[in-house]
Amino acid sequence: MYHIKLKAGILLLAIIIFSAVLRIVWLGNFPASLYTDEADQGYNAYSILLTGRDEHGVFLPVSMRSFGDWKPPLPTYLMIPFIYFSDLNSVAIRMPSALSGVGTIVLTYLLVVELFSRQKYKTKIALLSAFFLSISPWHILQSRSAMLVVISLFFLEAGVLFFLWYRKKASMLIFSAIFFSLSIYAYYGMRVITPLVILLMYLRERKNIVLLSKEVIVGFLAGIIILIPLFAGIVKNKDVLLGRAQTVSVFYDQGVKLLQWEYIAQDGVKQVSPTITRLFHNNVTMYVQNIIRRYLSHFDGDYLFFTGDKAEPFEIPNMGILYIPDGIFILAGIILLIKRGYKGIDLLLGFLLISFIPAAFTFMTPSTNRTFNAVVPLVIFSSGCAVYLSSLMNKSIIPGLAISLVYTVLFAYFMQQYFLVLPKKHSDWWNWGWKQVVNYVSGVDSRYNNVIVADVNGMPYIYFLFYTKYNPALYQKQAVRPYVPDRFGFEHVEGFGKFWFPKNFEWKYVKNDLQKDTLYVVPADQAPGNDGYIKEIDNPAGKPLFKIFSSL
Amino acid sequence: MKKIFFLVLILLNTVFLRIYKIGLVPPLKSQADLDLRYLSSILGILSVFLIYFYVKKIFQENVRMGLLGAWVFSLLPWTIEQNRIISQPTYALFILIIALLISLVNKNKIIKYGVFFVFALILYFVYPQFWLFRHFAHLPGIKDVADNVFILVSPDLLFFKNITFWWGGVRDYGILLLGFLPFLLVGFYRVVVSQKKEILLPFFLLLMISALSPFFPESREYYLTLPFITVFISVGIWNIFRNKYFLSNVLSVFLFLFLIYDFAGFLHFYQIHYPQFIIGNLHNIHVPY
Repeated sequence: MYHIKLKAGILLLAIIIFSAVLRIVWLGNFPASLYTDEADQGYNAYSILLTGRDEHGVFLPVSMRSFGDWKPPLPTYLMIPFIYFSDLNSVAIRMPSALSGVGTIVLTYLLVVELFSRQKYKTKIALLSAFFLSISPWHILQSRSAMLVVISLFFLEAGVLFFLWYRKKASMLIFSAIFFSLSIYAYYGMRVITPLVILLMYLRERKNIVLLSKEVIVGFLAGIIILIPLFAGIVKNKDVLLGRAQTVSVFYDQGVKLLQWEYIAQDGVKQVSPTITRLFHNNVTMYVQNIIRRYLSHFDGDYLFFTGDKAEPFEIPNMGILYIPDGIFILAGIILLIKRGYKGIDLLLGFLLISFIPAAFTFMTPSTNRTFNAVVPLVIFSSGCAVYLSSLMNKSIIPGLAISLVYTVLFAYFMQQYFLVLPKKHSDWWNWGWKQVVNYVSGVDSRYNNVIVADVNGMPYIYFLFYTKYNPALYQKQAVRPYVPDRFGFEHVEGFGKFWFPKNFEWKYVKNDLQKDTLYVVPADQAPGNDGYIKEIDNPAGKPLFKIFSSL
Repeated sequence: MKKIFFLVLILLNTVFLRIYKIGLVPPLKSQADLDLRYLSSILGILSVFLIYFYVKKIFQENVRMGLLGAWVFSLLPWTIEQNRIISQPTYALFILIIALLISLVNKNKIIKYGVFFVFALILYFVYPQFWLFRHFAHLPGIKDVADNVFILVSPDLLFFKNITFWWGGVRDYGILLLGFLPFLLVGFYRVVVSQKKEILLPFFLLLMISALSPFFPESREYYLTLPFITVFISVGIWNIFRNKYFLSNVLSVFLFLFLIYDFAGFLHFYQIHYPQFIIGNLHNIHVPY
């Protein structure tokens, strides 16, 4: 849509290469193990590649039933070409996220240039935004794992960018509609976010949009056509619409209800009129307050800069999701950009505020995963401040050097935490150990009639499918799964072939009544001491994770 | 005349909010404490009156802004909570507002800045619990201070959970009403953009002092920032309500209605639930209450 100047182009290319290195190198080893959701998506992609059906035997699903959490399908489908060319492995299934991560960096550059097209520092802010995004701990963590949100951000950002390009070429709106629709297939939160972003874009651009023009109609139809399979899926099964959102929503959590009952009981003690009680302790008030509180929790500095997400596996040890100076830069950036009349700031602020909405409706807040889109406006604000700070110093290089030095130190600290501390000291966050278990078991299982694996620490069945590359067609016939959700909404697999995964497995009882010719995989904490196991699997720090027993 | 009428109305409301059932809500530890509670209330009411002059002066004798400031200050959950118990921060805040006023009206630099030394001296007598007078040697580390700053400016503390007086305070409400949030944001932005140093500097200084408290989160020193937070909110209300756009006006009315509901909810909580939470905690409160 425009020409990038040579110097800016070279710098952008350098940033792209740098960000690609950060996201792609050692992709299979860092994170050190596959998280359950990653393995699940990978195996389902493998299954669709070989049989056209997912693990449940559904032909080309529009929502992956998975563990009963109904994952959005697009990330899984995007894994298929990589699995086709490089077989089922952790690199292949993480590659779509990693490439989308690099893609969002390019899109962010283009977005800033487009948004601030009339501003003096647009290129500098765009380049710095791309660079800040490339070193963002939040962005790197998500890009290096197959966790949906980077892919959804890529499509959402592309939708926004092409929408903005509509002013220059009307046909861009068709591409925008396609990207927006695809984002809805990439992550559940997008079913709230994407319509709101489209509404925001429309309100902002309504003067430039001719509603009954050919491009608008074609774009609208293209979006609808892409979404038809999803609508059909929803009609067939309502779980396709909200998926796991049902079991993580604030309405599922009992905390609000308990508080409400406590207040109502206290009103009763004081003989308060029932009308007053209903006025202040009704469902709407209680839940709206709770939702607003959860929404605002994402602006807590302690969460952003020091502790980060405490939900596994999204935690980076001993640090937040933003660098500490970002706190000042973001705030000052917003104020500076508004004050200096940057027209695109409204879109960025709107985008930021919309990003936190889906997470506010869940009881697991603050959440880095569900609010991931916020990373883009935040780095742009930060960059805006840094560029202006440098420009105020009358060509002195000292502020730029000082900022660079601080960020270099902080980035080095992040690298240490992510690449050294996380795999060694917190390998359990990523369900480390199952690959080693499966590797050992698959070497000896021919000698056994049954392999019994305690159903703990994720969903072990998926690791056995993934690492053994179990024939999907065979699995679809053999799988024993009662489709009874546990209290978190997850459906467990009881077994397939010779592998069995009993829930509530207690080694202290089982060991007294061993089955013949059976291999047992037991969590190490259930079998303390040296009591006859044939193999021990330790974590990278040397702590026992699993003990394997034989009844031969 | 009309303006005086509004001021009197605000003060009458303030008196009611601070005196009504003061011996019962919150429950007394000892009947002898009641007199000192009245002292807090009287100073609290006078503070509202002084805030009127302070905000008016800050905004070039803008009487409406003064009224707005007094009204906002009188409705803050934290001022109502502190003005109805024996509260050294209330005494300190009263003295601080006087010092701020003296500093504002005097052009003589010695008086303008000297008044804060006098304030610090008086503070020693009226607020001996202030951590600076007790544990100056035990400062938290830099990381803890930064943590504390984030907690003090967190939405949770501001709007949902005031943890600065765990056993005796209204823990289930923030220091501000949630309905003030949009006004606070707009007002803060306006104050920063207009570079009102006389508001921003003392606010950030007191924020840092509160964050340095060795007793954090029991850090009622933060109460002293309320005049400045009041200014942020007042500026926000002023800007939002003066906007002539139709949508903005509709939003303003909605926000105002929400604010009224929010405040009514606070009063209900304060009169009905707060005493029931406190009654079991009285033995944990080791300061005059």
